[in-house]
Amino acid sequence: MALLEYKCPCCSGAIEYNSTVGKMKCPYCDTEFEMETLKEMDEAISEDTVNDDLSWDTKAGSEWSDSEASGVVSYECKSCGAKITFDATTTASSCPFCDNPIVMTAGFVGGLKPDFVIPFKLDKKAAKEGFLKHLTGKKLLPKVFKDQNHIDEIKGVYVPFWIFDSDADANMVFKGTKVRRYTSGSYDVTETSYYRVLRSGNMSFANIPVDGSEKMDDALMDSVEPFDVKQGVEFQSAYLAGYCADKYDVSAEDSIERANKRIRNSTEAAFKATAAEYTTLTTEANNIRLSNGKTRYALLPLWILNTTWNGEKYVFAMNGQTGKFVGNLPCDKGLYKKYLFSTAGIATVIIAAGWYALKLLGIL
Amino acid sequence: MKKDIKAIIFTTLCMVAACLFMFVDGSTPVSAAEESEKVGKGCSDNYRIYDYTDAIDDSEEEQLEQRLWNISNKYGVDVAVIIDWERPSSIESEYSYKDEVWRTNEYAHQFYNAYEYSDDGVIFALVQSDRSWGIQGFGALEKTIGSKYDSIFEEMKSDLSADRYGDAVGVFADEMESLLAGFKTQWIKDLAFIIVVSLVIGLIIGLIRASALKAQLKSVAVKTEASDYIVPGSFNLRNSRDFFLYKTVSRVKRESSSSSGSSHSSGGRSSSGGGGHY
Repeated sequence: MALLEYKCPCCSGAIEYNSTVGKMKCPYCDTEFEMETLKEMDEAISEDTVNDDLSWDTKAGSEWSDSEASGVVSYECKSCGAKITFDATTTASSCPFCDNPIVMTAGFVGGLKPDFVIPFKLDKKAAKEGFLKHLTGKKLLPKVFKDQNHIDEIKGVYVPFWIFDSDADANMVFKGTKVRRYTSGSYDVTETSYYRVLRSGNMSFANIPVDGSEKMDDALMDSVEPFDVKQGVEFQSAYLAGYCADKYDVSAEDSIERANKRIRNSTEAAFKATAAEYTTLTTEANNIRLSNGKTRYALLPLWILNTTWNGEKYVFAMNGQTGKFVGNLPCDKGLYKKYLFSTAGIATVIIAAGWYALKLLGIL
Repeated sequence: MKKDIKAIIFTTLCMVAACLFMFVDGSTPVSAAEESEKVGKGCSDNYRIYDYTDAIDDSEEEQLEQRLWNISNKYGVDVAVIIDWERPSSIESEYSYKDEVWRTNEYAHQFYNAYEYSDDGVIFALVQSDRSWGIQGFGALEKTIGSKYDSIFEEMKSDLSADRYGDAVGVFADEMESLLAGFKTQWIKDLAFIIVVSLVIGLIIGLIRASALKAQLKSVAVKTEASDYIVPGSFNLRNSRDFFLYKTVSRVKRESSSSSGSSHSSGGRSSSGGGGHY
């Protein structure tokens, strides 16, 4: 004979039937529940319960053919370890990632051939304009930094990305509250109703990019998104002419965690949006099962600029397809104080004068 | 840079001072401070206390009368007290739609006018039948009494609750003396308060602006969601069930004031103050 036990949704204590009130009652927090509600809720949760399954098919990229391998050469940066691929006709003197001199290695160094490449749509001139535009209108940017910018050192780089597609099936359990405030006689009354909110369903994700380069800052690569993957074409070494390509050093398997985290958060947000009528919504369970997961290896176009200022390294990147320019800039502490105190001073004068005038006029 | 900041702070302080003094005209306490100690233009020769209920014994009343007279004379204002069983029937019938406290204040206002007290002064009225009270300020004291009647009464509350009317009027005299003594320096306290609060608000505004400008320099952040990559129209909500669990109700008693403010104008004069029950 199976022994049925219900847990209190408020404190997780074992609930007992209380014959005095004729309801299920938690002996720990004294909350009372209708038996039918608990039974129905228990059934609904057990029907929908699935365990997380965030596995992917990570067969991305393909082997290089002999003719393709002969069209490219690789360089290795002894400073940051980058393995950079060029087409056979291009020579390079400095690493696009750390700006140090690079050394040519013996022939082609292997790795996977990309499934597709998004060719550069914007040239170096656009990248220079993008950088100058990025510097303008920034009132706290040190003037010296602007004057000393190394605009000519902007380099076009194909950065390796893993592109993830998947369908997500999810079961969510939230704890929701609805708060009603009203006045009753001489009392302010706050009435809080607690709910168990169950949601399940599915959705599809396509073309989530995760960079496969250890050297590239993940936040910088996330910030240049989005890329229009539909404009991707089959890889040919000719696309490397005039540019260089970084070889992946973070595998697809190692990139899955970042993709999964983003899928989990967005799935949760999508289901939460279906319960907008609640004042607060707390996630209690979040089970996601991925299916039809597919990974592709792609080279995406970026204009990269490395520069050092006051002993600190600054890296800027421009999406070579959309022109989106990102990169943190240094802050002039003196200018920061100047704006802080001048704004505070002007605001103080206006507030004090206005206040005193209103007081004299008897309005305040 | 340090020179720049010092210059900004100095300019700010000068501007604050200049702006404030621009608003100060001849009728403000600045010029009054340069004159005599008097707050008003002078007091009348009327009695200070009209106790129609004999709530205060004669010898105590005599002392209080002298004390209120001294205060009135020193500061050039009329400080009067009226204690009655009930309000005049004319007020009761004309203002029957108003509450008792308002009518008591109207009684104080009309009494002050009828006895031709001076332009600047204050009157405290008590009506014993419904235990209501009212304080009305006139002329130079109108604004001050309008904002401070509640705190003045708070000091008299315990004596009035115990029907110690003489003691209550004594406390009223204390309160008025201290209010009138600090009247000339009140504007300095007000100004200091305004400047300090304005400086704090100004600094917060400055911090918000400087932080907003600093945020312009940051364009790099890790993305934690993939909402841009959800295939349009792919979201399918299969199951949506909500279960009510329980309800909590909290009740907080609202703070209620035992007094209310009121302004009155008749007989060519206006007054402000307020009252309540004791």
